[in-house]
Amino acid sequence: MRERLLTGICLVLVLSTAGAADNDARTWLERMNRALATRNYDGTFFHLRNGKVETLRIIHRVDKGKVAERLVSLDSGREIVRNDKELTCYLPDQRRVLVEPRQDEGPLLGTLPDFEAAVTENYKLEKLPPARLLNRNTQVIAVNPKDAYRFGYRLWIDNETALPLKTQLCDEAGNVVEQVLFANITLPDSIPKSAVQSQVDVRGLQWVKQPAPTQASAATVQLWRAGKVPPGFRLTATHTQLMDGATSPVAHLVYSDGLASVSVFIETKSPNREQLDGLARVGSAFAFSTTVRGHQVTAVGEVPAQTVQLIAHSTKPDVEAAAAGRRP
Amino acid sequence: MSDYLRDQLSAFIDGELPKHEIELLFKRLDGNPELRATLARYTLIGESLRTRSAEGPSRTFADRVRTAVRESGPLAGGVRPARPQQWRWLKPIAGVAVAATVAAVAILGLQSIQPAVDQPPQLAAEVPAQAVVIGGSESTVDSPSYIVPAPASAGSPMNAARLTNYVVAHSEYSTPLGRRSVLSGIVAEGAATPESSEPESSDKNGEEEEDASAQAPAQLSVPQQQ
Repeated sequence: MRERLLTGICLVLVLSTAGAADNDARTWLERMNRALATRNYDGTFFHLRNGKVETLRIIHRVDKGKVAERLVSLDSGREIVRNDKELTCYLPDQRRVLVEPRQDEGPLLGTLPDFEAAVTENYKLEKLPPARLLNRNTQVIAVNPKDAYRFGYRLWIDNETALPLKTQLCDEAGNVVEQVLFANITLPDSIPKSAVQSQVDVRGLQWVKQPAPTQASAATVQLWRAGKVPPGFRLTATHTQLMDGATSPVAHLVYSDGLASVSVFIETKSPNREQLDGLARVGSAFAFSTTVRGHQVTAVGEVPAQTVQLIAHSTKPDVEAAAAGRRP
Repeated sequence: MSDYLRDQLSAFIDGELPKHEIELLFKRLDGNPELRATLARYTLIGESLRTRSAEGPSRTFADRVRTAVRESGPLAGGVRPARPQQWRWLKPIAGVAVAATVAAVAILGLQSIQPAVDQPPQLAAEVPAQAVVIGGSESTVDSPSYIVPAPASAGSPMNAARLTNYVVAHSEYSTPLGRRSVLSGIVAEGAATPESSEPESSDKNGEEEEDASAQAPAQLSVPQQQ
């Protein structure tokens, strides 16, 4: 009897310790998210992936609640500038500038992931021993996926500022697939507006602006759904938008597990539109495109390849939903 | 890895390794992917600790890192291939052959879902392309003009451009970390990295992957998902 009691007490202690550690890790992640969104910072970091290293600079400016961010490759000359109105992608090597209007006010602050129970159903949060990095003390937090349908993170979060000085993107086995390592970072009280404006010489570049997306009408996006998604993923946004080169409005569905997200783009196939088939990658994002009943279905997300493939293959017209006129 | 090798790496990074030992270390690096990966990792960490915030990273350092990464092949920088079994479904079955180093978008077979007998609902009536081209060398942002983009032929660079469009549109729905990763990918690598050159898609080790690029085009396909 006494042994059982002791075992029970030990179990409770272990569970409560694990829970406390989990909560502690979650607190650090929330602090990090707030810092990433609300602080001024200017840093240079190395982006390592697939045996390649690129040097990038990020400038993040918060002024009167409005956020602007500039991401620059010091190697390729490409730049991305985000503000409260649009995201502009300067691609001098492709001789064009891509402008994506933003949806609404303030999502730069509003899209912070919450590390609620829904997230911990699919990820295990873990606080690892502290480490020194950039001559500073950091908390090391691991966000481990519980299956192979999503990536995890290991984060070296600065004790004082809560900014991640080093980030590793990991697969479910803990293997690092991408690494971001800051070489330096400063946190000025204020950053001039000019610092978040592109320095790319745009003479001769073609400006391509995607028309602003519209709220999806029931007649459009209600007809298409992913039939199979990994556990924890749910439909979080739907709309249609007009995209460069598309001959008809493109339906855009977003599925998220609270941390990772996958977009599904569905457009009517056109003989004048180039065919996309198979798997491609942009950094840590995978894209998989296939043809479903005369439509080009492309799933894109910062998830493993099999996740975009599963979702793209399972996307089809939801005839029952359309007939019933029900919403998801 | 032995402490001796770690000390050797550390001394090399600090510039304290005698020349004859450097040559020996390079021979070891040549046959030891783990050692190469460790070198790249140590190099980055060491430099980061030395870098001061007021200064940008020196080009010399960037060159050193690239050299280390180039030397270390696909396993550099602590970036290791994913667990092989995760990618097993990417192994060849009966797909379409593509040149591994050329494909802008890797074609992994053409097994689309079987078309249904019934007519699918259409997204919307076809309309002219609606993209707004705001100008080129002659016009400015202030005077947008609507044009119909020219159709892109298969295999044209528009594939990369179209993929970039998708990824940029998607990034608005990512978390801050996810978005930074995705956008960094666009800025650093560009779109449509040939998937068939991805080392993670193979069960082979680093040396075999390097050889694979010189072999016959990869034959990949995708199993039917149900």
